[in-house]
Amino acid sequence: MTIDSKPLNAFPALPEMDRREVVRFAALTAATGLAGSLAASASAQQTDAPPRPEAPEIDGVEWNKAPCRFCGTGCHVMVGVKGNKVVAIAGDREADVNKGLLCVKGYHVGSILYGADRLTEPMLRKNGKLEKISWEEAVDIAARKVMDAGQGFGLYLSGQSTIPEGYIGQKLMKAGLSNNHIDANARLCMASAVTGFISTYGVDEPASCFDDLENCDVLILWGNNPAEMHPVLWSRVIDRVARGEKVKIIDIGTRRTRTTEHADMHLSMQANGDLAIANAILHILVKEGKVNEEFVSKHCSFRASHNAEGLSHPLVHDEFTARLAERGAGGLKGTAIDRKDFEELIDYYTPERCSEMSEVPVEQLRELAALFADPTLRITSLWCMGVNQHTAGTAMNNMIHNVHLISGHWGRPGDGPQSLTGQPSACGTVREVGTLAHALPGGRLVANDGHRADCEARWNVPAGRIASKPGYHTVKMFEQFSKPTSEGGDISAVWVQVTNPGQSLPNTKKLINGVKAQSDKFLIVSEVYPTATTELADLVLPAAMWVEKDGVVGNSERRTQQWFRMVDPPGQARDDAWQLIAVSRRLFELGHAGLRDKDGNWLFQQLDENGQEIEIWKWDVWKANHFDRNFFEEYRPFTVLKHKNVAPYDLLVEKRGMRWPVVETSPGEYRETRWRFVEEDDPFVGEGARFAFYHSTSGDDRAQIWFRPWEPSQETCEDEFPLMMSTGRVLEHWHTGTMTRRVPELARAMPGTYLEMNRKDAADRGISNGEMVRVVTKRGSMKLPVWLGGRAEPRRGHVFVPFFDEAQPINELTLDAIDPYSKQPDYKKSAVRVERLADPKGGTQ
Amino acid sequence: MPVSGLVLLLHPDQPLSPLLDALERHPDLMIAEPVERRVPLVADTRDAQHDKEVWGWLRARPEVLDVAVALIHDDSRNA
Ligand code: SF4
Repeated sequence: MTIDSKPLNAFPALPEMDRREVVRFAALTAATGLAGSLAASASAQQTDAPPRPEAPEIDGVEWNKAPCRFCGTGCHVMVGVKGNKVVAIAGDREADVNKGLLCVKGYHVGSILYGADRLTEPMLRKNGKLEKISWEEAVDIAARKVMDAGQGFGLYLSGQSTIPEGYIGQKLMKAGLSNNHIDANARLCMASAVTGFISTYGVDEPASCFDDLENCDVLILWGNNPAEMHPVLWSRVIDRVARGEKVKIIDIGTRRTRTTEHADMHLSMQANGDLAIANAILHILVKEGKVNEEFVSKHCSFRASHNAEGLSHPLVHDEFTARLAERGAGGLKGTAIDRKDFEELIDYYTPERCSEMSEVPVEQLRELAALFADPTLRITSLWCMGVNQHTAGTAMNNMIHNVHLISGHWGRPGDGPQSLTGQPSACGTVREVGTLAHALPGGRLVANDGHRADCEARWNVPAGRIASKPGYHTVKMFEQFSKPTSEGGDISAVWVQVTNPGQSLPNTKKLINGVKAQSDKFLIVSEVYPTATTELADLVLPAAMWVEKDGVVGNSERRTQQWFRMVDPPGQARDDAWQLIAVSRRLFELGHAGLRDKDGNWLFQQLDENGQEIEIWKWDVWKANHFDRNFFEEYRPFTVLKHKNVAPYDLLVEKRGMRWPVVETSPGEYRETRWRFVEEDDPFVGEGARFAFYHSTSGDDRAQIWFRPWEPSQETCEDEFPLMMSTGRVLEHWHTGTMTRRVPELARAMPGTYLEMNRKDAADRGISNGEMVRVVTKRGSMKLPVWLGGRAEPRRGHVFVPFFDEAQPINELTLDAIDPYSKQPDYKKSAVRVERLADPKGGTQ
Repeated sequence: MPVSGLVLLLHPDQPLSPLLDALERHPDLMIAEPVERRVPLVADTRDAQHDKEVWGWLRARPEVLDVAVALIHDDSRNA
């Protein structure tokens, strides 16, 4: 392709530039520089990167780095501040993740600070109304509620909580309150990825990284729509396509999306078809002798579970599961089986049978298997909530690892499975700090005696302080909170930070909406804007957000990223970390014994260089300092046990993130790891081993290939509810829309939610585009406008509804069934019917 | 009054002259010399709505595979 070199209306010479012209000039310089550096990096080697540019120059604007506030891609932005206000955002060309690119959400990230209805003062509900109170009063009330509730208190954090915030919350709950009822919203989006990684490799988080996108020959998207959900990662792929490189893109899902537009092959499956597709691949590889014998014999073992606590296949595997049950081990560890057992089990999953289960044609199943059978190709798999939000989410995660392991498509650049996360620190905070009911920092478990003892020693608290029984996972915590005390609802107070469960929980009517009517339940919410959750709250604490506070987060490729506070939060809004600290201090003052360490000191005590205590619970002291460094450095040694060594804070200040394990190669010199368990790159793999899964559950450095039977979904279509609904996200809005709906451009671009339907299904029902319909599930009904032939289209028998719209909270209707291992809910398979209204504009009924 | 620095990534199979002509004629855009398949440009718009319209116009062009953001400056919002 060539471009005519005709004269263009390039930016005119500006001898006397006015202020706006200066800005335009800076914008053009940035765009030209980005175009140049993208072109250069397209042809450069990793080690031969193009020169790094300076930040754009705009009069009076000071630039600093920060990761984008939104998705788990973790793009870095340059934030331009003038007069205590964010006035400009530029893609950060020093960042490997995005190389200067941003998507439309990143483009507007500065605006999320400036919605007109920011919460600026603490508020307490009195006689049904939220009324302003002082911070002193708010902290005291919160502390007394926590104290009174005892083991009836739950802390609900987020994949948007920073690492220091998560660490403080974790320490407060587990070391201070001896209470394991701490969980995070990441339970709703990636818990099945965690259980998938742990059961396969013995340790959580991807072994590969985003560099695979530049190195793969085949990209398989398992129920994943990166064109809308992880647009910058998608740009990295599309950029290769635009350069004429051959990347075969395979899109597997229940909808045609913007991603499908670029796909070479679309496997249109019926909901729940994914396990059948993956089993068909395994079957074909085994039957056709295409197992990578060298890789499997050296690096893999086989495993199955009789699924004592979960689902079991009702049709063909009863005899086998009974045999497994006799051997004892079930659950996430399962039971070792031999290759012959595995082949016997997989024999059932013929392409023809899997085609019936998935409704994907046999030829496509064979074509997909043929790619895995070709050892010369490099295959990357991406997946996110389409796989994880599944009652068989753990199993399906195992299956994606399986098809890579059994074919040996593992461990070379561009050749391996890479799961994605939706939030900026689902990995860094929830998975690594372990803000989950069963976890302790750095991959430790509350149920493990040694892990508890280790944490108690590090936190200098008495032996036995940390409770051994896992607390309530998200769905259980809110079930127990919304259930009346008289009926056994034993959670009486919950503190929510940086998330919006009033809109994001499944089956919200059951799990949270009822709380408001119960006078003996108390909901504390730290938030930046009014939300569906603050609507239910008894106490609202106004929070600082993004560059109004310091932060450290971890993205989907094990990259830990740091930023400093750049502007003041509005009004009385204060950091979430400070809020936890202030309440912890108040608990200490009120005499809560758990807030003392073995020496009688406050659990969060910080000393200055003279050994004097710093009063970090006082806002002006907190605000005048940067305590993130202290808490991050306190946390960092926890990461060594599972070889997740995060980089020192001061190094993160200099860098655009580093991927762990980060090891010191010589004094003061550190290197990151791109591919784990691979000798060439991972410093913990012994010489000559080539690959070593050194946290293997079988204790022999091997990964586990699981037999995972196809399972029917919890809800199936039937006469009364003939369509299958999945919920999800859209390009313009991030999750429940609390931030992006405050950005006028994004709100106008996508003002409200809708029901996406196949045009033939709509025609069968006489439904036309834009018509208001009623969508009905077993849990209730909701009126929605229908969008036909829009940017995406579900296959027949399926509908899709985005969940960003607070006015139409679709999660009132979603199923709250969970995966038996990960406890993650299935938002993708609620059986529904769609009814026409008497008045198609929705005025009546 | 947003000012944006954008980079258009162009489709390898589409003729480019019509796009470049349209970009040149667009009153709110200023373009710079393309670098391979990428066209750097500045969008200077009256307000957020106008900005959104320009963005939508760019995205709707068949020659445009992707629109990347290099910089956005907008000091018109309330702090
Ligand atoms: S891809 Fe994600 S992290 Fe990157 S700019 Fe867009 S929303 Fe932000």
